[in-house]
Amino acid sequence: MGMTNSQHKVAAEVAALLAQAGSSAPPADLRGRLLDAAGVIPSVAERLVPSTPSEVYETQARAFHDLCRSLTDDQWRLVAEPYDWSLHELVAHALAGEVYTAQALGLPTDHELLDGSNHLSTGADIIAAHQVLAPSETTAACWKRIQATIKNLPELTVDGDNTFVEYHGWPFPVNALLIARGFEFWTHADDIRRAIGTTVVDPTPNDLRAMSSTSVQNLDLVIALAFPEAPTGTTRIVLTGAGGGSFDIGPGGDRVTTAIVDVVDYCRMAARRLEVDKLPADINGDRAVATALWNAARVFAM
Amino acid sequence: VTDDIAVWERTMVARVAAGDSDALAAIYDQYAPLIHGIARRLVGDEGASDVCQEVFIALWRQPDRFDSERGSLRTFLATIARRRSVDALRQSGRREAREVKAATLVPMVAPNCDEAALAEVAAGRIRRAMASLPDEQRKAIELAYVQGLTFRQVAVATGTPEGTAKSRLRLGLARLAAAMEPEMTVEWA
Repeated sequence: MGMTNSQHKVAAEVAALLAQAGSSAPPADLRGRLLDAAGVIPSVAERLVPSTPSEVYETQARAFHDLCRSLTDDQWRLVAEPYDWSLHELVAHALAGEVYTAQALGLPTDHELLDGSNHLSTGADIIAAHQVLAPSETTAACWKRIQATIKNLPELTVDGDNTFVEYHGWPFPVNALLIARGFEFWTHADDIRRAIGTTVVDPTPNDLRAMSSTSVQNLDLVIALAFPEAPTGTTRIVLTGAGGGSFDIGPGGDRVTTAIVDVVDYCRMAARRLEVDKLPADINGDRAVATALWNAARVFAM
Repeated sequence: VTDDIAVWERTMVARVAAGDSDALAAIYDQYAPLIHGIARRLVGDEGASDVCQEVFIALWRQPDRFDSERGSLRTFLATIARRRSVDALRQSGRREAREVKAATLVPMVAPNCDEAALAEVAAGRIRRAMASLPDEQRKAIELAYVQGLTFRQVAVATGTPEGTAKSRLRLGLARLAAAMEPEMTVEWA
């Protein structure tokens, strides 16, 4: 028994009416009561325990090191986009970054105090010196520097949210700095993976939660310091996926924007591995406010 | 349209998992009447609101239990509603016929529908048309469109192969459409 087009329309209407036929309007106040109740119950995202700053740093640094140790002689010469560096030079850059980080944290190093005014040129001498060494030596030097920092993490993080250090001209809590370094190791590990043609790897949800929440919760401060003329407004950023979360940021008052985006995409955008205009975000409200926030998220990535 | 709904449901549940209360509110707005209706039929007016709230709180607590590959969010919530209603009946000691009804998924026949709700959606005409359907077609349609079951679940509930369940739904809807077309066409004109 077939149906005409007209009957198909009627059937669709019938199906909708049937679905409604079993419905009954709940009490008018139930919606409010439900949302009040949900407000005091931690969401799935909130129940996920984020990695500690030390864990993020150590896990990502170790993953970077392990990846470096797996590279072949030919692979070391590949270009580490988006830079002009070879993979060997990228690791030397990571080493220079670790030396500068150690100095910012007040740890002793074998190097003179580095100039941190520009992230990419920081430690240019170190990079140049390592160009004539074997990649394995650079990898070993980088790992040695990382291990020295790891050894000091318990002491460094005693009051890591309230202990500030200067890092590339910005005041950074020690904990946020460690997470930023973990973020950079993850990003550079993916740079290497892209260069050698293997699949990029998402951090664990626990690491992602630590990275993404640290990033989002600092956006207000970054906007105020770096983009004082940028449009602002109370915004809800919803980072979907394991390790994401929902964050209300901005000056308060009525919300002007809601931005929904996958947490890994957000992190890649913040790392400048995904352009702002390519970010698959669902934005409801003032797009200019959301764009300003995305630009703020990228300030620390070079 | 079905794909659009599925995408909307997946997106909203992902937002709920992220802790976005706006998404919970949107899902509530979409499905609360259905869920409240199921609870009301099973536990009555008094307990329906509590069951309804519990269903959406359950989604808030454990959105990852929803698997879009296994069915729609609508069906998922309806299933929770039936389970919670049965629990509520057990707790209140008022099980008997209502519990059996819920557990065995005996379809709600049109005469038992809430008259006010039916009047609201002009479903009296459907009731008459439904009454004219063969039993197996009416049952399949009620399970799918009133109880919110998927094709597969309708097949299980009726003890038939999935293809048979689909066929009954298609034939039943075609009969309904044929029976109601003149009236509805007039309304649309």
